[in-house]
Amino acid sequence: MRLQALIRKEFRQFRRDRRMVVMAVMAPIIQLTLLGYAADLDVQDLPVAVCDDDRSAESARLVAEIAHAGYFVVSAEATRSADLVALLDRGEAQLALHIPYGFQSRLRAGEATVQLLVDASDANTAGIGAGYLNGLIAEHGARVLARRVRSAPAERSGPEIDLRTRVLYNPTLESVYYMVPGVLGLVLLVITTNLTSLSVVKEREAGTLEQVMVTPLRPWELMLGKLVPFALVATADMATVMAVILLWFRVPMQGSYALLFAALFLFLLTCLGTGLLVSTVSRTQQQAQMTTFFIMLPSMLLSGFMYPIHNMPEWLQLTTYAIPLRYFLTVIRSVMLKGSGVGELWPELAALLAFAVLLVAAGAASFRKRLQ
Amino acid sequence: MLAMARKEWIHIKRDPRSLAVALALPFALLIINGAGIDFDVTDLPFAICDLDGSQASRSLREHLVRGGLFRLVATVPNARAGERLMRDGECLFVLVIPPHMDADLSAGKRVAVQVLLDGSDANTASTARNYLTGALGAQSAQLQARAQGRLGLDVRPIHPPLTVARRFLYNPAMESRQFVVPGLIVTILVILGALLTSGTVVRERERGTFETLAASPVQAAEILLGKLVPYLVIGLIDVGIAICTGALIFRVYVAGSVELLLGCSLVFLLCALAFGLLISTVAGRQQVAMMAAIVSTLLPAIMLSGFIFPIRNMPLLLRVIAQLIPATHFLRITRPIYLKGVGLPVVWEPLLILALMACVLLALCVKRFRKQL
Repeated sequence: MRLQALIRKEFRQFRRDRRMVVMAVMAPIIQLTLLGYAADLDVQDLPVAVCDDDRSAESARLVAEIAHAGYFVVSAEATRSADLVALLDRGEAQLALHIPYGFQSRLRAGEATVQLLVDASDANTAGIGAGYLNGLIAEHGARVLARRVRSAPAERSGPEIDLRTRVLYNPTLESVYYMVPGVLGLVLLVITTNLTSLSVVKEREAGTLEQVMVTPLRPWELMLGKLVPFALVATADMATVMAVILLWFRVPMQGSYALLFAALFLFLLTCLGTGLLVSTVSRTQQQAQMTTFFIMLPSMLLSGFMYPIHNMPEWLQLTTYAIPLRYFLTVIRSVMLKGSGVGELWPELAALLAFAVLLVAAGAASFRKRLQ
Repeated sequence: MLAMARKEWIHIKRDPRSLAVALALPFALLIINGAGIDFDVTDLPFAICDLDGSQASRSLREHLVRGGLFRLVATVPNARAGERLMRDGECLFVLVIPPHMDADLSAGKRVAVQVLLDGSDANTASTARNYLTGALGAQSAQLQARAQGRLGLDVRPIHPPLTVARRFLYNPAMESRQFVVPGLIVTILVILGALLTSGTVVRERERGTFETLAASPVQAAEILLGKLVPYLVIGLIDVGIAICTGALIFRVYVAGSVELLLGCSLVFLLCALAFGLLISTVAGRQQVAMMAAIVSTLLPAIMLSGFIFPIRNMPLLLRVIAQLIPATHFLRITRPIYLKGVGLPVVWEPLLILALMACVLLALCVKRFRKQL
């Protein structure tokens, strides 16, 4: 009964602030949009500057082929090759192609060279873009060769290895499918930890915590009264995000919902425990925010949410094991995309369970001590 | 105004944890990201299912392992076992070499090698596929030459008629950290603005000291500027820490002028802090202010500014929003100064945009603030 009253009180406080409700709804939606539509590392419409000193039919054909490949846009044409670097300097192009004088005749003789300048300051895009362009030019060369030897086709036949790739789990290679389920974990972490850690501190700052303490409420009732409403808010958020993931982004769900919900529940517990722990070690709301933030940031960066863990150096990979979000991400991605079951995911689930128990216990113990 | 600045400074000093976080932030972020962000895909784990077990299949395996791009984690008896490994996340792809590959190749036939690829992480998967195509293409050409040699044909390698001489400017080693560090300076300042200033006005209101301020003869603009000055100082110190950490630990040096970088940082800081203040005057409570600051500044600054994901690839609406974010324009300053070593003649345009944004944001702040007073 008393617990119910307390939960009702928390809800009323939450509802009273419209802006808080708006935030709790908007935050997941903004995150989903950003990750669903912005997180695309592929190369598209990369600006290429061209300096064609040859001005021949062959060089024009090469440039047209590059412009129509779909990856590049010819953004500038320089008359002197020296101007190419200036174009890269100003950021008007990311790649610059110089076709030297005599290109056509050398190409027909089978020994042409073009120069490619790459703005590698964005190493990521530059690497992929330069790779594509290289491939295009090589293909062009192969076609010219084929035209040349068409009279002697014997040269082209012979043993060859074909690569037949079958992509499993995500055949169209949509990066959205990988990124978007991760938002579910991040939203839970941000909303739950934030709400929980602040609610206690806020009361302490406002001086109402003492009032609650002198009531006959037991510490565990007070704690549950704080945790349950936020768990419910988080659950509502979870349902929204899940619906958007499945209905809007159409991420396929291969595995079992039961397993997914079990993992969600365990992860939710770790977030609540963390929030409680933060609330007990902070005096002001700003401190609580700062501390929460310092937990959130590594979770975002090191959990494999944005950057692949296997690319990190060894020592950094070790630290990722201390982040509950890491296990949750593995579970949700595997369950949704690969349809994995408990058989494959038990180590992650066990780790989540351990973290949940540990964090909630530590949070509760610390909360109790603070109250007494 | 100076008195206001001093007052705000006392507030900051009274909360050493926030100050410590603000100063530790650039260091921690640089360490985690500088070491952690690496998009160069290497060491991709794979399993092999060799149904041929011949000289040719062994040399193919050797060829893949030797490049350093792939790491052999298991040899499996059949494709199904490989698929199980892949589902467990033990390997990224399974290479299935068909029986009689060697014999077929010697007979001059085409051989299909099958690859099962885990596509769940689309970015890594497509990189892996590209690498694999390249590696097998090279191996294929070698085998072809060898087979032709065995058949007594002309073994003269067919060299490509068109070659590309590539030169990578600004970051010849193509290290991710070279472009991550200047991007992080942007992120750090955004976080600082979001975390430190978004709470200032709301906090005064929650504590009831806002009325005291309102009753004092200080002008609205003076109060706001006074609140900004201490954070500007902290922000500049943070930029300094970031530049030093980048240089000392990651050996990423500013190619252009450090003074220009600091000057531009100051303009950007004004934007970031003013935006935080604006949130602070709009939000009713500290909690709302903080949440709003994180969601509306931090995430867009990381996701939309072009820090990691190219703006070109985004749908139109997000591209428009990206142009409205100060971080996008600041990134167009930090990266060129850091990597290309360019000066004012190149970065004046984004700098002008930033300055305009700062003016607009500050004016909005003052207006909101005056209304509340």
